[in-house]
Amino acid sequence: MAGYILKRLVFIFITLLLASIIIFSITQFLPGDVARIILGQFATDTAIENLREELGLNRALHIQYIDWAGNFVRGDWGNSLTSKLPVRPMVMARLSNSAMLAGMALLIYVPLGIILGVIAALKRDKWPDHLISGISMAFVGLPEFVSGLLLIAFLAIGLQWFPANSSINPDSTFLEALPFLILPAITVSLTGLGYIARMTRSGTIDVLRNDYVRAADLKGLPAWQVLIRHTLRNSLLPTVTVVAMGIGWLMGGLIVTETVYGYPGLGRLLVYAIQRQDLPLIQAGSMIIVAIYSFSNLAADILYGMLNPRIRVGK
Amino acid sequence: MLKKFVVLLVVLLIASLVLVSCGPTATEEEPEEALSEKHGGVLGFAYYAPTNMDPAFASTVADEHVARQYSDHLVFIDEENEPDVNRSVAEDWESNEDGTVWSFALRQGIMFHDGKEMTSRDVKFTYDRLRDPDVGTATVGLYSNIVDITTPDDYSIVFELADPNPDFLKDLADYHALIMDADNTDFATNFNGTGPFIVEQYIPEDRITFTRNPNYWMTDDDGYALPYLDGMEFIFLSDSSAQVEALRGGQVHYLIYLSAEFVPMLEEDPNIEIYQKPSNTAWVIRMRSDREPASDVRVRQAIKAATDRSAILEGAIGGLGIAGRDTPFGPSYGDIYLDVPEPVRDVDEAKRLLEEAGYPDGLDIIIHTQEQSPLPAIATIWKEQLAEAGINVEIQLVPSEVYYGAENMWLEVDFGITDWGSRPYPQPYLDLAYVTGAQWNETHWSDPELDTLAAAAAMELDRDERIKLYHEIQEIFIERGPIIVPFFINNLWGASADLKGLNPTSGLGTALDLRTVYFE
Repeated sequence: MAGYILKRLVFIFITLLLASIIIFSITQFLPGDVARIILGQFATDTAIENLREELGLNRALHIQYIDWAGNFVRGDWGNSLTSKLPVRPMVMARLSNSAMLAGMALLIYVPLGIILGVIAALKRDKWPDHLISGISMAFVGLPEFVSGLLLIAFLAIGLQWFPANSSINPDSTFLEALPFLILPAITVSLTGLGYIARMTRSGTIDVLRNDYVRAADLKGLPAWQVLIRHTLRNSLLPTVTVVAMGIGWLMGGLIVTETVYGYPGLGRLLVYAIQRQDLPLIQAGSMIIVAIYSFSNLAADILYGMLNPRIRVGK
Repeated sequence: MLKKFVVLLVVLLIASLVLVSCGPTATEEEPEEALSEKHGGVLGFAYYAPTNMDPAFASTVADEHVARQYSDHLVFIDEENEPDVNRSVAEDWESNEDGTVWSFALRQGIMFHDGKEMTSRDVKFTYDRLRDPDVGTATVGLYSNIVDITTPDDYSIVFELADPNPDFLKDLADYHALIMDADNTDFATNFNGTGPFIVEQYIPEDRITFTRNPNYWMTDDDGYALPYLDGMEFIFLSDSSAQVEALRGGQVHYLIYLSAEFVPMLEEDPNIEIYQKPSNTAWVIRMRSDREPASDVRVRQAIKAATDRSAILEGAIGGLGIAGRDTPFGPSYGDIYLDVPEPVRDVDEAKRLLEEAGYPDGLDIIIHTQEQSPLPAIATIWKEQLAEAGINVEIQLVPSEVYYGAENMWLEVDFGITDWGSRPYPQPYLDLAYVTGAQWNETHWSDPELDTLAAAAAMELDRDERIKLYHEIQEIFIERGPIIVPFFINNLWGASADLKGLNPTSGLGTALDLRTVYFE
């Protein structure tokens, strides 16, 4: 097991390294010039040239990269090119915001998705199944800027239950941020719910077919014990993977939801960095997101192994 | 199994709690001065994020918004586009007979936020920096007419000009020209100004917060200290729907540059007030006049004759503006504006002119413009209008970064639609875009008569004479100019109904002057 984890960690390191090189290369092909973006369309060429020199953009590309990578590994993530402020606190603040939103969304859609999935599986091909599958798939297909604006119109402007805008204060605690998290979390959950429900449904249906479930049933165990003790432990395995993939998505991919609600998460910061071609910020932000993806997948695989001894890897 | 999920979720939650739980706590100090009953409240404001925090390099509205709160102008331009000495850092000014030497007396006792007194040295530093080619701000050209700036004493400053300039006070009020501390070494991170609000915290791509400057120099008519507001929170929202929802939901109280499409909805909301004022902001359909086909004046006249300006105004922005007359000057300039009737659409005349110019079977043209609202709508309506005159328009939509990008597409293409923002006075439009060889002469138009008139208007100190010159210039544009101005859009501002003291006009300066704004 330890050997397996070590191997995976090495792979994650290689993934991060390759990702940083690829992202660095891609930013070189973005149209426009960061110095021009900072100084504006109407600044003189002298000013642009001075700034390029000051920012070190006139150095050879590989020097720029090695310089950045060396500092990054040592914990110096550099300063944002556009705001001149250190990148690390900026990214970390957004990371904690994203974690709050991700946690809230998972709390809503994972239990709900599992419950709906199990109901759909138990009532397979009857009307509750059709209803759950139909509605959850419709929500998956509904774009977040539509569901988000609808939720704002009904729950925030109409009923005034929640704030319409979720631009939380940077130093908010989780409790202070809570009312602002609910609407964006619901918006995200509408998308996530469908995946979880479908995964749980098909996993449960597969397991229910097994002989040991029938045996437990025939033995006279109450239905809920059969479900919880004997079915879910196996049927939720595929769901674990979907949840783990979801964490990466929740931490870095909620650009539309964050924009609609003005929520200061990691995804919006990254879009902003790309628009401004703020290289240190782009690099740091994407490294974090790649790392979260990699580690949540690793965690899922380890959890998978713990839940199901049959697929445990290594000795 | 379920337990493990719960554990995972709780761990995530705890992690986020730990990450956010450390933050500073603020201590409030009670000011001792007597305050107006209008005093108090924190104003919420939402707009796109600023790009450059150094006012000398400000290039977006958000940049200007921030700078105007923490700093001051030597000369403040008021709602009528005239200098207002009561709202300016200079308390008096005069020029010599021929308008080449301008002397200013500064108010005494104006303090920077760090406690340093502002003197003529800081003012001189500000304008020297803005005209220094080595610094290279966008104002180098604007201030190239300044020969020397001298400071006879701490509260006097004298500008010497090479040529007379009737617009000099307005030039000094340029949006980059906010008075900066001469001892500051980094204007992008150190926001030490004299302005009504003090920058409390700036978090890039998130927000900037301000507190009231308790030592601000300006008082209201009753002698109470300004500003009234205790502070401001400016949230950066990159989506206009999100900005509008935040206003409707009461999280912010003021929005500038509302998009016309939100106005009908907001007008129904009893908690929201819409302010609407004519501006000189236009999306200009411009025809390149140094090569075929628009080098032939008859082609330009034919295209103009085929255009129905009011229909574009109605269709593209729901009529929230004023139809143009194909000159760069709109009615917001008062008597400078040549008030003639809107040109009447005449498709037969357009066909006749085209035939005369050698296009009896019609004409194919390509128009380039940006893909942001309302440009696609303008281009589409215009295309339909021109089709009836036998002109086939192909529309090419590109992102703004491409249209104004490194290749300068907007200066090159044969036909384009370019957005031109409001300026407090009309002369820069001519000098920047329409005289021969101008830096942004996107139409490549060259008309000797216009050049002569524009040069004369630039230096004419007599107001009536100057208006006459501007009228002649507008006649030339209407008769043979290279542009079609479908409309000037109204500037639209939205605010909570309980926010009072706002007096936004066409200029951004008045819309962002929040010194006398208060909550009812």
